[in-house]
Amino acid sequence: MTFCQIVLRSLQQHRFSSILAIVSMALGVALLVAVYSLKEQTQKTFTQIGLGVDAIVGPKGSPLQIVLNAIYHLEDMPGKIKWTYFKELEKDPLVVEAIPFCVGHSYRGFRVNAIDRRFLTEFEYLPGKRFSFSEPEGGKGRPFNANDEAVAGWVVAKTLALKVGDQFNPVCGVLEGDPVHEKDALGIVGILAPTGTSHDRAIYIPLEAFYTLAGHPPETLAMAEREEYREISGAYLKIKRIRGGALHPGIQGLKFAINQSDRDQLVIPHEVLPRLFDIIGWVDRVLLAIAGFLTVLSALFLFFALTSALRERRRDLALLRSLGASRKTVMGLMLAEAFLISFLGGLLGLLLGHGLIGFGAHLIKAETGVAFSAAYLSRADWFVLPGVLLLGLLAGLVPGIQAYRLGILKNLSPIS
Amino acid sequence: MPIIEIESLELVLESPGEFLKVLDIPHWCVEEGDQIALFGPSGSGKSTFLHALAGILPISKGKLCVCGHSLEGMAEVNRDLFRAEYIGYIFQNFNLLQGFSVIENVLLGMTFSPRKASLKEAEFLLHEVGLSHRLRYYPSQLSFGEQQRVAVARALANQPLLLLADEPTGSLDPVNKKEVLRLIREICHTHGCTLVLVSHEQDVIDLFEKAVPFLTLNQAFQVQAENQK
Repeated sequence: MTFCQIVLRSLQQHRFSSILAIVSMALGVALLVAVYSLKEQTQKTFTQIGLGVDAIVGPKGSPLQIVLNAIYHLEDMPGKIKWTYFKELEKDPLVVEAIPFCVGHSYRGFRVNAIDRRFLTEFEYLPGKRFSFSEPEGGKGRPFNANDEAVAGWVVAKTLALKVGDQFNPVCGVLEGDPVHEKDALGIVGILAPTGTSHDRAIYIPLEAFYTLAGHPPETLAMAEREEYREISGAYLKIKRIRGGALHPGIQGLKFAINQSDRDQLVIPHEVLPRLFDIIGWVDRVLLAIAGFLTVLSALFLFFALTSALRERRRDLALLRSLGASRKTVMGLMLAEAFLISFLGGLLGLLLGHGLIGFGAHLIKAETGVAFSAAYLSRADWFVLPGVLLLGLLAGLVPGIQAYRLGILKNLSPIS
Repeated sequence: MPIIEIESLELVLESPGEFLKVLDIPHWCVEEGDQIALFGPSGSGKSTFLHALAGILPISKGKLCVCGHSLEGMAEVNRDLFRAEYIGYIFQNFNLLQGFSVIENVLLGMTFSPRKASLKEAEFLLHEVGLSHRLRYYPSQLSFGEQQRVAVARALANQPLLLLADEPTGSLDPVNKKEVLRLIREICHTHGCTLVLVSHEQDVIDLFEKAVPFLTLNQAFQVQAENQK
């Protein structure tokens, strides 16, 4: 029999405690892998989407609130900015593209944003990626061309079962109970192919439609007719880039200049988002601590399982010694068992962790529109297996030393 | 060629508070192919003697040469190797690893020997002890007699030069006792293996042409007995 066969046989002999040790280790590892992966993918996804918009010009208020509202369709916009100011800013040599938008409407829980048509046709939500209406990609229809037309994001269309040709009446506001624009029925003319971003979670209507909705007061209607009265919630800006793809350093000067005003501010998502992760970071830390604790606990369980197995196997090990196995060999058997249990636990945990993400990805996508991949390899995937193996070896060290010290005679038949 | 050569062998064990000389054998020699029974009362050090011959216990003084290897001063790891290569050992009880099948128990006897483990050889040995129909059985599924026969097969698995049997029939009924003894002697004869068997049962000792009273060998026990008087 080979060394490995003896190890496998021993594990089989104590299959119940071995399986328990493997499962408990797998659970700890799975949680660790899942939390790490979700954390990294969330940061990556948010940062990527934020990078799609180099900067947002918006009203004074919390920069984080502006980013959350403009890009992630959460929260409210703290105010409005003047259209004339926007037009002036648009001419700045640093501004490559400017997409104005108005927020404040919703439909059955999803935001209805009025936005410049170029958003649907020219805007790159990720480097090199534009919105698509192509059917093979999951889209349908076309961009809006008239004020009574709308385009639905993929998640909205799927969740609300909206089809091209359907009509809806937007709600004036984003809260439950806000008034419905009863006289303003808008027709869906297009459904965006899924982007895996928060853009999938909104309905888009023409910017001009915002001012001409019948339910709005006359002042708003006047904004449609006279540019000097017109206001917008903000605008997405694409900023000139320097070699290497980095934002032009002049953006800081532009930001400083804009932020001098009483009404407006320039927000760079790339700078603001880390603050969001600082705020929600404690959740990750708590989950990681729980996962780490579970893993260490499973190593402790492994230690007790091996110690108890050693107690039962003293005679077996003494017999092996009497057959010529050295002290190092019997110690090696205990360490190899610990190693194998940890390896199987770690491997199962990795698979389980990725399975959890795969399973959760559907729910998260349905809820947030953000796509997570089960195949994503986070930092945890690289360190968790060696870490668990090390833990396992540590757990096996004491039983291993006990096995090393085991006396043959004490554990064999009585001396006559 | 002598398989066992002993000159002034002493073995001292540490017991709480004192050092106890358990073996003191001035001279003993066993020739290759001999079948010897050692007998004597319990506590006379017979098992300890076998352990010393097997290299399980290191000797304290003197010369102990087994299978051409001097065991005095030999490092433990080398004694382990020596045991794996040259010694077969049968215990009275608790012989088999319960989690391993019959064939695996025999294969274990070859595992630590420098010779390559051979499934065919293990099967042949089990055939020799009449257990070729129980290869995949586990010890708990066998009778005591059958278990001891597996132990015989395992003890011979590494093709030892010396087979040490410590009360091999102590737990067996008369029928099985006779059968197992016959088997051990026959197989040792076939394999050219020297046998040293320890027993305190007269009917077992009577079967051997060479039966040595251990008390005549071990002077340590005589001293102890005199001290106790």
